[in-house]
Amino acid sequence: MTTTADHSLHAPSDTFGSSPRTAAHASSAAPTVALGRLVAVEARKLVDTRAGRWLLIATFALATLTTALLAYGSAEFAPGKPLLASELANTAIGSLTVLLPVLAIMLAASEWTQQGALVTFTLEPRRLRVLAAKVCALVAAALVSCVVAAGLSLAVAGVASGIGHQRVDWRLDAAVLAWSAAATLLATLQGFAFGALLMNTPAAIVVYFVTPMLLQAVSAIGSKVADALSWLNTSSAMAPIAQGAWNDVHWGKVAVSIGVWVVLPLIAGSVRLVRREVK
Amino acid sequence: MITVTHLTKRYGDTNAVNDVSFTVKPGTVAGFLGPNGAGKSTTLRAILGLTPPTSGGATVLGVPYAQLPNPASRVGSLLDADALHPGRSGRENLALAALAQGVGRTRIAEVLDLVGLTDKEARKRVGTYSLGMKQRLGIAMALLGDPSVLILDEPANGLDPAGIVWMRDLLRNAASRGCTVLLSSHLLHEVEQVADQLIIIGAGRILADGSPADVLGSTGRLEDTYLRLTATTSREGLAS
Repeated sequence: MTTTADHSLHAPSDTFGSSPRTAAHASSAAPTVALGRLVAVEARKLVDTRAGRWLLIATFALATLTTALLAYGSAEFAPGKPLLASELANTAIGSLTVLLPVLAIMLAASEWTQQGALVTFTLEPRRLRVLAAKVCALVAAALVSCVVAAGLSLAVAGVASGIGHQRVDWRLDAAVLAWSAAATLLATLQGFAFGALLMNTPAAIVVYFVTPMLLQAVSAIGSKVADALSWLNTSSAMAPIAQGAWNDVHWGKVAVSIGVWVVLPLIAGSVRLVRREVK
Repeated sequence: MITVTHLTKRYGDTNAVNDVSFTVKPGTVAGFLGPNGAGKSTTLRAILGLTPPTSGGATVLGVPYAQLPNPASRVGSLLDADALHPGRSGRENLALAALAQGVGRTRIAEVLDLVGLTDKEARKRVGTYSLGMKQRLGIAMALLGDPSVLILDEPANGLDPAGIVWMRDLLRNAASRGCTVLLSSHLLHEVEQVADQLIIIGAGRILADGSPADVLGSTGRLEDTYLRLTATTSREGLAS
């Protein structure tokens, strides 16, 4: 076999490139497309484009920046108090809700906006398995991101302690951080659900960011409206729970808002995905 | 083996594909011909489970494509060379497909070598590719799993003359190894040289299906037969 740069193609004798059909090759083509392989494919798609890579870099830069500002502010305006590592980590994880949903929207919708759906669904025609693989990859990525963000915030605390000589309270409140991670995961899944439903990256990003603003604006009409809409506000519904003060109404609000913003669009998006013609 | 049975696809009031049936047997290259808008691509998409048919259906290797386990490793397809993410490199596109199919990494180098894409070209983003390069990459993807069925829509599109000759040899060789090949093309002269079966479609209906000798009859020239068969349907197509 020779390779030439001028696009000349090989003699027909090696038509299928079968350097005699290797046994390894034949056996490695598993009988079904295992879900694990699909998850690996979707996880790889998160980071193998420039857009995805830069979005992740920006996400972690933002987490570092917000915690650094918090540490600086604490030293400047409350010099007597120790810097709370738990609060820094909580802030870092919370900052992920800005850009991780965008990454999620891209994972769900860029198949349609940037081509690729044809290949994806030819490789795995059982479309809901592809969707499930995307959700799995996304949940894993979001949880890893929370750990990375928390790690970055602790590095910031370390710098504040070592270089800034700030007193640091290193105790971490596991419950607070877990809730923060759960809220981040929910926001990410909401972005994914919007992307899966709209199948258009820019549209989903706009709807994702405009919806809470609209809700806020409508809430201003009156307290009754605001009260009703509080059932649709995932973050405000989760806040008291994160602070350890929950009751049935709080849980109900969390369940309703998750149902409306994550479950319903995901179900509608699944129906649309199964019916849609892939071109 | 590809079997299409009474396949119909309706969009609104128009039948893009109207009661289409044909069979392509292993070891055969079938040329799938017809004017633009005749229903070729819709038929190919329906075979691959991408377009839900209004009625009828298709099987590949005896079952509907979507029910084949790991279908892409047994059925190689190229429908649209532009349907690749422009932000990924050629090699990355192949790597994702190989990962999904469970094909080893060495095979990526093999197919790249086979279609004549250099390492340097494979590392570039697909958005920078010429049509001919995209087409080669698409063919590499179709061959990745060493499939026994090939479904190709206009594979010679954008290829240079040497590439077209190579493509012809590739298809003939595949068929001689027992592959089933369904090839849509507007290059009548090319199809005439490579096909053992001709399927001509116009306005969603099969106009002719058989061996070149049967379809061409006494005229003996594909171009004449094709133009005669599709003359009425293509006018209808333009009018509607």
